[in-house]
Amino acid sequence: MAWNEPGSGKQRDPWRDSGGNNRGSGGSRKPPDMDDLIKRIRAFFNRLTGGGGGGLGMAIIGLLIAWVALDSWARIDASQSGVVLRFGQFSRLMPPGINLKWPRPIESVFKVNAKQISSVSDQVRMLTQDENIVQVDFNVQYQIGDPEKFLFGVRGPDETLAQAAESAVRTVIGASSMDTILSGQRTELIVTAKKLLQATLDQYGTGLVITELNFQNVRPPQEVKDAFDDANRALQDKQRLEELAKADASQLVPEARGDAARIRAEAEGYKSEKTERALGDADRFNLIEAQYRAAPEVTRKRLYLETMQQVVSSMPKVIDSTSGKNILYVPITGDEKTTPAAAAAAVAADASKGDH
Amino acid sequence: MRFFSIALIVILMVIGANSVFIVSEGQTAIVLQFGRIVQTDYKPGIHLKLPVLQQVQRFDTRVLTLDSAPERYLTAEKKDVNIDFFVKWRVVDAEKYYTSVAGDETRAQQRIGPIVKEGLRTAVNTRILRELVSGGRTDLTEALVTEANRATTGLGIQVVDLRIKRIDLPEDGTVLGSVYERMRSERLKVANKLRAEGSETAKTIRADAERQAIVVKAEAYRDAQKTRGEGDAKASETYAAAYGKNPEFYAFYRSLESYRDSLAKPNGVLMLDSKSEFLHYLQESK
Repeated sequence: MAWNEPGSGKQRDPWRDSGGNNRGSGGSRKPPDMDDLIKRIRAFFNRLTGGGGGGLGMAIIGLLIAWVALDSWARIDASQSGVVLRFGQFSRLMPPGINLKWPRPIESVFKVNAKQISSVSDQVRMLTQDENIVQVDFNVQYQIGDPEKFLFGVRGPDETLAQAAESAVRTVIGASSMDTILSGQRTELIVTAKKLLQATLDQYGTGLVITELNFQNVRPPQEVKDAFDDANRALQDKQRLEELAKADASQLVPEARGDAARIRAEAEGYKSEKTERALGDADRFNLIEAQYRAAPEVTRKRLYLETMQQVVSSMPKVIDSTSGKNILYVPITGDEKTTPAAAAAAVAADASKGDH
Repeated sequence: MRFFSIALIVILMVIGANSVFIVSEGQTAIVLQFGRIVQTDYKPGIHLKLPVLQQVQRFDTRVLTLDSAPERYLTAEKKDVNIDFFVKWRVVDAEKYYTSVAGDETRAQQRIGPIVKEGLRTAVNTRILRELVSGGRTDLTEALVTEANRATTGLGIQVVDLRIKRIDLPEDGTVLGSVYERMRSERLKVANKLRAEGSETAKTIRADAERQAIVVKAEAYRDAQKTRGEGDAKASETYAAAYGKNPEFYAFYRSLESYRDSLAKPNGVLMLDSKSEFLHYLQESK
């Protein structure tokens, strides 16, 4: 008959309810009362060996004591967690520190690095939904969330994680188009892959928890790298062309505005010039007209003569004297086009013609 | 006497040790008596058995892995693909497991492997690559798991899951090359499109800027012409007001001004009649 019947729901603990079978009542977590125990064991052996208290009995007792002393505690590091099995059955988890336990074969402890974060990286080439090929470098960071499951759920939890991670990454990559994968929308894929991976690990009962999953690098395969690089360059070319055009535009429009301002200013200038000149001319005319009104004859004569003087004095002159006294006035100037001599000759010829 | 008592102790200890057995977490056990199964389905813990006469056989109940080597399959459109999968399975019925494969993992996996591969081959044959790669992985594997479980019921095992690790185009096949070729031409298309779009946008931006410039200048011209007209009108008004007072004198005065402006230049020869009014006193003193 087993201590714990297979299939019986309630667990019976032989060491807890025995009521002084091997020691006095009290919490089973406390260390056994050594002196009492040794006394009882010695008495037991004495009875068996006929009270002789021989060397062999003492040796056995010594070995037992040493075994109990050495194996009734376990040291758990800060990063670890201890899984205690009592007769192979899960009993409790040990926190970091020195913990007491029953010596083997009653209780045995398995230590796992529960707080340590492990990491798996892989580089795989996968098909995308649109039958393209991408190369993905991914990294998974995980730790042991449930030490009991980690030990007894799956054989080789770490390899299982590596396999499941590859499968999860492939699943999300295979369900996405290459443009989605290569563009910035990777976060969504990563989240999906992480969820998928965690669900798989939970399904298998690995006791592992994914803390992080990353696609460190996603790129097209080497064989088509040049084409992808060219497409990237094309994008830059596009942006460059647009920027250049914008630069030109930002120059063209202000320049046009400058021109417009100049055109307007010139017109304003013209307007002012016209108006002011007209006013000036009008004022001058008004003043002279007033004088003219006062002495019309003299003023008229004077104006005429002054003008004639200006006109005549600045030009070479030929005076036709056919009808009067012979007076020829030829001033000497350097003008080659119309030398007075030529002019005089022409006049003379004209005059002689007129004689005939 | 003493020797006998020690021998007795040793014998009792051996028998005592042989009448209990421990089943650890992650294990199950069956007890055999002369090769016949007496009891099965032992949970983790300490259990009793008859010493010497009964033997314990322990089995791993943890989830185990069958990791296949990549194999070549043919899709519905006759494309070669390499598929690599793994199967997760565990022992659920120790008695059946012991009787069918003698508790041997390798033998169990040799039974599972072909069943899964056959199912996979059929599934791949009826699907095109695109279906396999995209949605196909999970719904395909779920059916395969059910199928594998049905086929392996007698083995006392449960197929927990089947996952496709990789679906790849074989390196030596022609498909891979054509995929690369297509990827390249797609990129070329993208590149050309991008460059053309860049050119388009640039032209649009320039044309718009030029249009703006023309509009700005035309507006300025419009305003300028108006301003000039205003100037002209104002001047005209001023002149009319002033000259209207004495049109006859204006004609005289303005004519003189014109002569001065147009004739008082040293190019040309002025011919004067000696009888003109200007030269009147040159001829006659009276």
